[in-house]
Amino acid sequence: MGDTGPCGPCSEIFYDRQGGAEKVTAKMVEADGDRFMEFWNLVFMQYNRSEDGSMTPLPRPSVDTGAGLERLGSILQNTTSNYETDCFQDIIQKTEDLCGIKYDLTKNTHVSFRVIADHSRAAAFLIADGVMPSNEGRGYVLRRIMRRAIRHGKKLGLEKPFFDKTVGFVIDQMKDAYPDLEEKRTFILKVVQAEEEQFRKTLAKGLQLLEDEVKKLKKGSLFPGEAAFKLYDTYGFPLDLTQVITQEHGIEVDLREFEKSMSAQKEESRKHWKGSGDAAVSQVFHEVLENLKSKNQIPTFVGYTETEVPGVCVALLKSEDNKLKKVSEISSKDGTSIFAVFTPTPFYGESGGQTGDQGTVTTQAFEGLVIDVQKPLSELIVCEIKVKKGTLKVGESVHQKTNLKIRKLTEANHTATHLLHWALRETLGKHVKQAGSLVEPGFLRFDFSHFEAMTPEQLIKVEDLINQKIWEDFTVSQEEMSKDQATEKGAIAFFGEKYGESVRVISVGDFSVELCGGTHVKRSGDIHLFKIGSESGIAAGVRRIIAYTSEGAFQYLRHQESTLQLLKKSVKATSIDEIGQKIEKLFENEKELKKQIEKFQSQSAGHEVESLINNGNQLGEHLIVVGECTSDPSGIKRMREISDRIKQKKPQSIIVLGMNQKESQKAFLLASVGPKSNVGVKANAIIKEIAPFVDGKGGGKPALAQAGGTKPTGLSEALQQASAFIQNQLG
Amino acid sequence: MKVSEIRSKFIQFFKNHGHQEVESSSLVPHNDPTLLFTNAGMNQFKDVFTGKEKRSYTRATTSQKCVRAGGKHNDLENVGFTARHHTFFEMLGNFSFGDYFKKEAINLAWKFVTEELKIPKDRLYVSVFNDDDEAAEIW
Repeated sequence: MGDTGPCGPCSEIFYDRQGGAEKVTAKMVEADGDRFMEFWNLVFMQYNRSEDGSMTPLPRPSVDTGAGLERLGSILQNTTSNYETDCFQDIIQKTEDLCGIKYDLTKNTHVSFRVIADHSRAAAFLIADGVMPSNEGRGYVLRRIMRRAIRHGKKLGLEKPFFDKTVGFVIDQMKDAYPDLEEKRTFILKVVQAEEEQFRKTLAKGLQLLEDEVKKLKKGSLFPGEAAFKLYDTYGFPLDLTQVITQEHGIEVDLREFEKSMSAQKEESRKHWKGSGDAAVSQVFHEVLENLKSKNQIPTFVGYTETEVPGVCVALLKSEDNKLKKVSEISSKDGTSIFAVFTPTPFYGESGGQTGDQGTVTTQAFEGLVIDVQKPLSELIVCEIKVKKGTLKVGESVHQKTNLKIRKLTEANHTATHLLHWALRETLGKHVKQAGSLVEPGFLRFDFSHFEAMTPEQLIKVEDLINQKIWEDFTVSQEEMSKDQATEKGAIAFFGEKYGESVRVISVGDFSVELCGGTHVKRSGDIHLFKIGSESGIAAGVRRIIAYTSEGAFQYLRHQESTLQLLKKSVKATSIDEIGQKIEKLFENEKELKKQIEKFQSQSAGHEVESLINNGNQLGEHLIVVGECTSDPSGIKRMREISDRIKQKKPQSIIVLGMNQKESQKAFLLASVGPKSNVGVKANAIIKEIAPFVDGKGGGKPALAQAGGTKPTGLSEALQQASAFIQNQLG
Repeated sequence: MKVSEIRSKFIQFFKNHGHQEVESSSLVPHNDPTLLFTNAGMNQFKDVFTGKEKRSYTRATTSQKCVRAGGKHNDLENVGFTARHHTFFEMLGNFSFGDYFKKEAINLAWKFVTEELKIPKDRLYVSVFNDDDEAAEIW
């Protein structure tokens, strides 16, 4: 319980683990945590503590009690710690089998067994409840828990991934009491496997970096916070992991610098997604809302049933000196950034992923376009206005009309989003949970938890399921009810959404039931058509689908078709069905052409080989071939081919080739000694001698060596030097 | 007695005493942005206690999944080294929403511990809030 909320005196029950006839005093019970263990806390709630610390009596005194199950276990099984009860020992025994070490309380390793058992439980349940390992918030806590367990596994010699096995034991053990664990088993294990794989990959690299940093430091000094942040950000090292390791060397992490790096990065990412001045804007909206509250003029939304209604303008805002200010009237002179609040209003303000309405606002003397509608605060609906003509004053009655076409398309996408959520759970499993949603008039975007890319068959199944439900034309009902009633109906509540006491429940037929504040079509048939545009991954364990409905789906399909038509034209097919055949033919042609090119290339190499041999210099039994090859994209590979061919023809040869490669503007050198030229001239010695002329580096073996350099102008000099060097060597 | 047996005994005992069995809520709190993870049985009933929300029952019992691992970094590092620190644990609870109060709550707890679990009375001690003479009296 926090510092505010219901509270009252409590009473605790303790168990004396030792027993005996000795007289027990109150002080002993309070002080001795080992002998006297508290296991049940009863809170008698009588007051409500408000933020200012004042206490008011509760309408109905109540009772809240909590008894630790694991503690009760340790009492009844008479064990020294909770870890010795059956619910931990089952997992510990299986971990023993995995690592071949015994759980022994007299050895340090017992801690690692306990950590693995405890953390396996936490990981299984957290993932089942939709938490995914990540670098922030709840996901970060989960990541720290998982990585800590994996590290302790390494201490037990578990060098290969094991954590999915211990988490699997938890599922086996707890599935009777918590059946959803079994339902989500595959998902949980995949998440665990992916995290362990990723962590083991970066662990080695990160440890190296950490050790390098630590080596630079003296005992008692501070480990740079920036490096700790890099470990956290790039290598996924939780801060506490870095701390544990540096502390082993007697070094503390510079936490202030770490925090600084962290907030600098947060600031950076904030800049990326939103313009500045956000805080200033919300302040003025707070004022507007307070003011409207005092006048009983909080905007009422009537857009679930009405799309065209009269209303009163209750507030106006416009931008002055880059700041939004309350004003009493607006006119066509005011330009952009003008906002108005009306009540009642048919305009839907952006929320729950659904974008705001568009429409018009008119009086006898005023015409304005509503270009966007936002809800800067949950009770405040604010229209962004573009004035077409005239003046609008606070207090005036206006006629409001939503753009029906945009509204209907948006509604089709919103109801389709619910159908998509249902169809994904049908197709992929109940672990699918909404992770994000955007509903626009033109398309819908849906993010959800799933561990791998969907197969083409799964995508088709989802589309089929949804379109069937669309064409069967089910009634879409929109009802207000209490949260309890909604839960009884089996409504899916969206993660992270806040719902009041009474909630709106949107049901399509009896298969899709969701809590939702958005606007929806009246019948599923109004969606007309559903088509998925793309499915992709956006983070570990999170997939994204972009889809189209109604007119949007038709436009999407038409666009696909026009692409096919273009393709048909460019491959000169007579029908779309023939495109595949045509493309196959093109591929065959390409293969054939490649073959021919290779043939020509080898012929041209043949010519080059001939001319190099002809220009060679016969020294006794040895043919010395020194020359420049024509530039070729394959560079050294081509040179090797030429030298091999020369050696084939003239086994008693010493070859030095150069190439000035045009593409890279680099010089290549290759030296090779034929198999029968056993005269002590070494290819690597030649290369060492001549590489400096092209500012090059290289090396190799006595039979074959090569170099590359950045100064192609030195190539002829290098080759001259090569000739001289060889002659000199042959003496 | 196995841990799973204790869990079902507890729920059954309070069901027999007119409590509605309520499922454990998610570890991710739905309506409390101040809370990182569900950390006590009463979390899901917070609004019922303040009267903001009404349920069809006035007595409830749960076995609640809890996680305590957020906040200070040290918390997590302790787990494994001590006898009773856990990141994940289950909390058994019984709740009265304006139904019974001190007397019955104490009687129920005492009855469960001594009669159902048969923990010897001479091993049990109870603490009360300083000025709470009423509770002391009942015990």
